[in-house]
Parts: sequence; structure tokens; C-alpha cells
Amino acid sequence: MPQLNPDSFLPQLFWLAITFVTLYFVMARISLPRVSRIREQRANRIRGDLDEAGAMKAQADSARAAYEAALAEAKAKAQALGLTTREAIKADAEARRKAVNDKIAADAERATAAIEAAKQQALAEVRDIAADAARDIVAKVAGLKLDEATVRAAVDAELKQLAGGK
Amino acid sequence: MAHSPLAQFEIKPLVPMEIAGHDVSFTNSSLFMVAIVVLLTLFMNVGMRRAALVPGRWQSMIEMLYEFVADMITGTAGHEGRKYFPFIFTLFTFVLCANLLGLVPYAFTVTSHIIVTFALAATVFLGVTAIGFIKHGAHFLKLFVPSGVPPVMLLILVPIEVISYLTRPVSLSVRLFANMMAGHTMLKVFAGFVVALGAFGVLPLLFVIAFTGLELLVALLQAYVFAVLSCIYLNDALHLH
Repeated sequence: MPQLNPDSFLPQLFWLAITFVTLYFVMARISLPRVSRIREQRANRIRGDLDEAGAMKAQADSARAAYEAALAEAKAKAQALGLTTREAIKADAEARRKAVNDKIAADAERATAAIEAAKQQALAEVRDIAADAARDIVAKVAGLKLDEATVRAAVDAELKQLAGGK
Repeated sequence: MAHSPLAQFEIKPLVPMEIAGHDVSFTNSSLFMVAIVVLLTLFMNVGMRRAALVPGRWQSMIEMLYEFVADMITGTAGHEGRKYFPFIFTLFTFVLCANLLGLVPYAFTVTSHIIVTFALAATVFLGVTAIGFIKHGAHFLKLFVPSGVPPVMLLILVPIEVISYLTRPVSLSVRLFANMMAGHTMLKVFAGFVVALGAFGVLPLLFVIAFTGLELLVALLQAYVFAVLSCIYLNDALHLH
């Protein structure tokens, strides 16, 4: 078995030492730092990008929050405006209604007074007509000449009785 | 066939050299060691020449290898093991490259020699032991004293622990060497049958093809096992139980 030939040990160990140490230094000093550097750069880049994305997200969130606040404010304002407008319109309508009502009431009162006056006047005229008629009837039927005052009194009494009897 | 199945493991001097009367010839084994270093250096550096944040195919392979070894270390030895990342990476890639290069026909398998695997295992063993003593001082010896065991049992358990610790470099090196040697010998034996059996040689040929696939798996697996066990030993030295 060639592996057990002691003469071959020293050359192999000698060259193993040289090549392995060489490889170690090439890897440790040149190759591996290169790889770790690029990996580090990549990790930094990814971290940076993630940070940026996070910042942008925060910005977007705050923008949304601001938008929502503005929207809520506008809504509240619109509601308040609507409410005050409705109140104002209601008050105005109420005032107008009141004015119209007052006017109607005044008109009604005036009309009532006019009617009352007309009625009084009509009643007075009725008495005169009744008195004249009564006097004429008495003159024609009985041939009596009655004076004005007597006829009036009699008509009044008769009218009062009618009114009372009613 | 003139060649025995073991002829492939022969060490042949290519450039005879001597230092202070000791033979340090540049051999076929040395040639493949140098080839491993050159290939790995090219692989790791040419692919990173235009290193980009979004990696290309080659760079992705390098980063996958990097990540694989890094995860292996943090997975077994924790975060403190990161300090020894370059060494474990070199160890893993060296063994992996040696195993894979050995699968190329006519190539020499560096890791099929016990002296090479033992030298690597001994380096790991001595380094890990040194780290343990530097980090924990005499407390490192507590590694041999299992906790929560009656004192009488320690009389038996401590020698067992010491022996198992001392056999680590042996088991580590023999595992890799034996796997490599057995696989390559087997391939060679069956490849010999292909010619010897004539028309029926197609059967051993099919076997050799299938077995080469298995050997590829073994090459990857043994490099991984070698590196993972080194990490586990490192973990023992870094974190006493």
C-alpha cells in the first residue's frame, strides 16, 4: 500500500503545509473579505430600502390621517352650517307665520266689529221701520193719531219681548 | 493489466528537491495540491471580479458556498465560531476540491493518503485543544468530567472521555482517507473487469458509471463531515458543557 510508505510522508507534509497555508491566506485575506463586503453592502442596501419604505409608509399614514381629520372637520362644519341655516329658516318661518296670524286676527276683529256695527244699525232701522209701520197700521185701522214716542216705546217693548222670548 | 488497483495511489516525484538532506520532492501529490489552490483561488476570485449587489450565476455559487460554510459554523459552534470561519472554509474547500478532483480519470486523490488527512485532522485537533486551554485555562479539563455523575463512576468515565478525545484526530483522518481509498480502489477494480470481460464488460461498465455517482456523493459528504466534525470539536473548546 503506497500510503504506508514513510518515505513519501515528508514531501506530502511539506507541500500540504505550503499549499494549505497559501490557500488559507488567499481565502482569509482576499477572497472571503470580498464576499463578505458585497454581502454587507447588500444587507445595508436592503436595510436602507426597508427603512425608506417604512418612512414612506409613515408619511402616507400621516397624510391619510390628515386627510381624515380634514374630512371630519369639513363634515362637522357642514353639519353645523346646515343646523344653523335650518334654525334660521325655522325662526324666520315662525316669525312670518306669527305676523300673518296677527294680521288675520286683526282683520277678523275688525270684520267682527264691522258686522256688529252693521247689525246694530240694521236693528235700529228695523225699529224705525216697525214703528212707522205700526203707526200707519194704527192710523188706518183705528183712526188714531199716535205720537212718535208712544209708538216707539210700544215697538221697543214688543221687540224686547221677542228677543227675550227667543 | 500491469497496474494493480493500488497503483493510482503511488507517489511519483516530478521534481526532486531536498532541504537539509530531507526529501521534499515536488510529486504528483504536490501537483494536485497546487492545482487545488489554483482552482479554488480562480473560482473564488474570478467570480467576484464584477461583484454585484444582484449576483450573477458564478457569484451566486460563491455566495452559496460562503453561506453554507458560515451556516455550518454558526449552527454547530455558535456565533463565537465565526472567528474561525476562514480556517473552516479553507479546510472544507480544500478537502472538497481534493475529493472532487480525484474523481477525474487519471487524477491523483490528495485525500486518499492517510498522512495528508491525518495532518489536517491533527491541525484541527491541536488548534482546538489550544483554543480550549487559552479560552478556559485548566477549566478546559472539565470537558473530560461529565456533569451529574456519581464520583465513583468518574473513575471509569474520565479515562473513556480522555481516550475518546484523543482518538478524534485518528477517527477524523481515517474516515476521510478510508472512504477515498476504498472508493477509488473499487472503481479501479471494476474498471479492470470492463476490459477483462470483453463483451460482458458492459455490466461492470454500468456499475462503474453508477458507482461514480455514488463516489461523487461520498466526495461531497466526506468533505462536509470533515468540516462539520471540526466545527463540533471547535464548539467543545469554545463552550464547555
